[in-house]
Amino acid sequence: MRIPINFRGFLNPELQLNEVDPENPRLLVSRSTGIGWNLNTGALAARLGLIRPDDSLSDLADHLPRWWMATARYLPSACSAGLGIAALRRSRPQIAVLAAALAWWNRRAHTRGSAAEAVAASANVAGLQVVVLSALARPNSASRSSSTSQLSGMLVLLACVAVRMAVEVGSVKVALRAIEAELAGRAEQKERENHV
Amino acid sequence: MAESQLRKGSIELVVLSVLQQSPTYGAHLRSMLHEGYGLDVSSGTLYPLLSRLRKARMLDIEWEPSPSGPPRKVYSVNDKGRKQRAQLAREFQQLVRVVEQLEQSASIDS
Repeated sequence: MRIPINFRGFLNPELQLNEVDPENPRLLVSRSTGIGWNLNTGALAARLGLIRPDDSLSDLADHLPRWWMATARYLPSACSAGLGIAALRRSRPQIAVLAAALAWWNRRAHTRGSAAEAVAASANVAGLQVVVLSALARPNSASRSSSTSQLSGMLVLLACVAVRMAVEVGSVKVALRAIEAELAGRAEQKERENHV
Repeated sequence: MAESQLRKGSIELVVLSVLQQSPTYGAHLRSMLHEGYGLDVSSGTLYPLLSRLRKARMLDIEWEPSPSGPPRKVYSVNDKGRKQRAQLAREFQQLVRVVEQLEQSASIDS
């Protein structure tokens, strides 16, 4: 089997939608940025019954309210700023650089991509910020046994997936609620017109 | 293997034909295919197909309220989808004619 290599995801946010696509039943998809495969959290959420298989962000994200989009845009930047400051205080500049890169990635998707691409990027960035936070909180690695590091590594991975999925599922639910309100408003208006 | 490939190819024609007759949402389309035509199409086949047809701009979507749960995504066939359906139907009929001819000559030979 050929190992996929892809570095276009940073510049082409559309590719990130493959990693949050419930319409694709495959749990593992080639990474939009990097080497190997990534978990398709859309397929996982659909299998867990959290969303329906056709609740794709590409059809829903345009219905997301402004406050949600603003949160998805600015919250990861604020978190990155916090992580960066904490990293510099602990004299770990490489982590500060990583946090800044994540903020740049999120900002780029929100300024250049569609609403769906922006939300997918925010989900990815939020998940990766969990990894950065764990790296920052990690004590001196020499003092830890390998089994403890393996366990904490697994927990960080699970937390990363959970955060990514939470952002995606939350976006789907908020968009569906907005559509529901839109449809109810339209029906109400129609009823009023018929009454008149 | 060959059988499943043929089936997969013809499902696109079936889905476009059914949606052209009556626009509907994914879960209902699945039950229509099962109850109306005896076709068991898994969600792992149907939703990627609907997504592909939508990305190819052959299907339009509209949202409708659901009596139980969140709004449903209703798929309908647009002009491009109708043209594609007609093209697929022509190709399929041609294939059926060829198979019938081959069957007839095979039965004469035997």
